[in-house]
Amino acid sequence: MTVTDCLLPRIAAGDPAAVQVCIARYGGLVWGLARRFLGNTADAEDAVQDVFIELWKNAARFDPQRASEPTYVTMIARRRLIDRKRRSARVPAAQPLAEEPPAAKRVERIEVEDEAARATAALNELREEERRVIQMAVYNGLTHEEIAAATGLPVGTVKTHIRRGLIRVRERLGQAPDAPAATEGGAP
Amino acid sequence: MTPRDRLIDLILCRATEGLTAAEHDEMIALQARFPDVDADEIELTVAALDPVHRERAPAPPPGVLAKLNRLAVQYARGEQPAEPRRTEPLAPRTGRTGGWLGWAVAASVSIAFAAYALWPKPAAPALDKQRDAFVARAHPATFSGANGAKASATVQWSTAEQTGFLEVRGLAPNDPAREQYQLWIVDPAQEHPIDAGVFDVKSDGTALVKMNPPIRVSGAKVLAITKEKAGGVVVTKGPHVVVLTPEA
Repeated sequence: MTVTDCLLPRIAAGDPAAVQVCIARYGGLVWGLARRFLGNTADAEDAVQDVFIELWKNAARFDPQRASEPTYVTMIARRRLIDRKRRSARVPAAQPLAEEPPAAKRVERIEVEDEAARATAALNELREEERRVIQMAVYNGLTHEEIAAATGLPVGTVKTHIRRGLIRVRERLGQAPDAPAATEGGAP
Repeated sequence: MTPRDRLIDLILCRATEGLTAAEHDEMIALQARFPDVDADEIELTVAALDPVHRERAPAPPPGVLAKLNRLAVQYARGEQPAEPRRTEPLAPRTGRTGGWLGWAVAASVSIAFAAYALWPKPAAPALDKQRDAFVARAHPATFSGANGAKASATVQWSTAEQTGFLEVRGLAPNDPAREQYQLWIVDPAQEHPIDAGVFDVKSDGTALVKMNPPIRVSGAKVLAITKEKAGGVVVTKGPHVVVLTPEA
């Protein structure tokens, strides 16, 4: 997707057609996230409406120089869904801990969004302990305390691993796609 | 842990497991102290890593799609501004010593306003339901005020959701072609009060509108309603029709 294909700037400019196209383009992504976070169809139905309203309201804040549009949509959706999950105090459907990222599902994919593919590649370059806790937090939706219990690491160490790992992934995303990975241990 | 580390810790928690309302308020306060810390960086990274990008997107059920498409129509219609965005230059600020709280209760003070936005027109029974759901969901703060025995206004505002609802009763109906009511949010984190939009009062003296401020509100302290020319103004001379203060 090129910057000129982006819908959010059009929505921010008041293009009503773009609002409809936004649902067609991202309805599945948001629905998939809502089902995963909330695990309940009725809750997910309400949640996707909240997410799209929030997305449209925040359309002007999207900066294509910082992230791709699917990533931005995912950020808004995750934020909304995490808040909703906390408020409802529901635990999402239990998911087995992934030894590996859910790459096996790639056989089903049509196209992995480029930024997401580079993020996953960067994740795979991290130290084992950093990659593992990030996978638990992002893929499995575990809290920091749950990760600490599962790994035997102190909560503070879990947070440090996640923080350092995410910073390193972000650094990689900010580099040219073919740039070599940063030397391990070089991140703060 | 330094305050800066605490801020990063809160940002990390928001991106992965969410924050309590108190933690969210703490994060907002720390962001004001450390504006160089980019909160979105971590969340965008987590979003890029989310496995949803590697899965075949499931199509929403037809009923959900239909609801979303209706919502899109309503949103697009409601967000159409009544007038083009104004480009009036900001008026010079006048010397004041009372702070924004003082502004809210003082009439006839000229203030420069930087932002301008409209919100969807009051429309609807559906808006009642939206408001009820919002109140049940977000546990918003309530602000209220009155002008004489008849006119009153209530705002329910959620900083976490950055939205709220204004309901007024007993205000004089306005002719939208000539004049409109305008709502302002006083936020100590902002140099100027935030223009929260214009609205119309129906013939029965009521209005119910959803608020969509154009910029982030860190903490609403006071709100005020003025009556302005159609489309609103960026510089008001008041007077304030109603001043709304927090309910205990």
